[in-house]
Amino acid sequence: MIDLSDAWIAVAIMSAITIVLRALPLMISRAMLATPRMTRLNQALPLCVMVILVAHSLAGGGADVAAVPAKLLALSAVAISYWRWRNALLSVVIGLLAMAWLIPGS
Amino acid sequence: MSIPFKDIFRLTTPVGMGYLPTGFAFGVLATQAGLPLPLVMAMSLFIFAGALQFAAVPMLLGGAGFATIALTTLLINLRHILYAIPLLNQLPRGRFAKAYVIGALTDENYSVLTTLPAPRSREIGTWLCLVNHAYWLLGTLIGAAFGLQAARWIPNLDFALPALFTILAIEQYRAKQRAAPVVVGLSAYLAAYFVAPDYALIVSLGLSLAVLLASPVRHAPPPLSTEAES
Repeated sequence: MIDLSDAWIAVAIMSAITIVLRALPLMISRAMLATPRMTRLNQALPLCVMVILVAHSLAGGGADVAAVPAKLLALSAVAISYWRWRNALLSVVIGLLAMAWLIPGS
Repeated sequence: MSIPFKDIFRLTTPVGMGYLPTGFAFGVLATQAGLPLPLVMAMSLFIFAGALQFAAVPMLLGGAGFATIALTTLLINLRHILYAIPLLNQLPRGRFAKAYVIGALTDENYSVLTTLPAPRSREIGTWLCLVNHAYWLLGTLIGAAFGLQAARWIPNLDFALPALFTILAIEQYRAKQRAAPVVVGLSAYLAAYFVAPDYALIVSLGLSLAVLLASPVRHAPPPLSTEAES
């Protein structure tokens, strides 16, 4: 394992880079952000990013491809239940139960 | 001004239901790997980025160099560059509150804040980020302290994260009522996954950004809700 003091430095590096990335748009001109194109981008981008994150959490980063159909079914249960009842806790529990049922022993 | 606890609770609950189990899973993983509790908690407090935190555990264990750690951070969190753009005109007015909200712009906080009208976001945005951050810290702490046994009882805890992203996508759809971003995002991810599977996340985000910027503006879009305020 990395030396403990180096581990603290590593955490500081990761924190600093993450915060700088999040703060970079503060340097963009406000006039540029008010253009119709940027306005429309701001409307569309959040949903687009969430869809990509769903896809990536299913299939990316070396995920088990064989488990994707089961995960898709479980996510469908999450989506349908949340759309119907808008209860996040219930939907997450339904998703975890569906996973336990679809991939027993995992 | 009184604090609107009811709204804060309602808006943070979906994120909390994802953050508690995912933070829990991170706490279990990190302490099981041998990282000390203060370091694990510092990661959730200061980095506050789930994917990077999970990726950091093997890097710290394997003694990865600072350059590798910096490059990995850059690649995993590059998408965060986009997150403050829609929020620039609806950040809290106070200097410290604004700095905190910017620093706490996770995927989930970004999603919740972009569903709110500008005045509401300005009013309660800091609270939302603080409460969501607390959920993440609490999940990490419980996982680090007691998690190993509980993780055996509740399998597939990591599935809480895609479940949370799905819930946030539904909230985004309900707020904007547009299906085109779904099509763009899915198409971009599929293309990126087959062309560059190791970089599918960042490539698909870049593709989506390019498509959304390049597509013609067919009609006058609604004005930025924030412009009327500023």
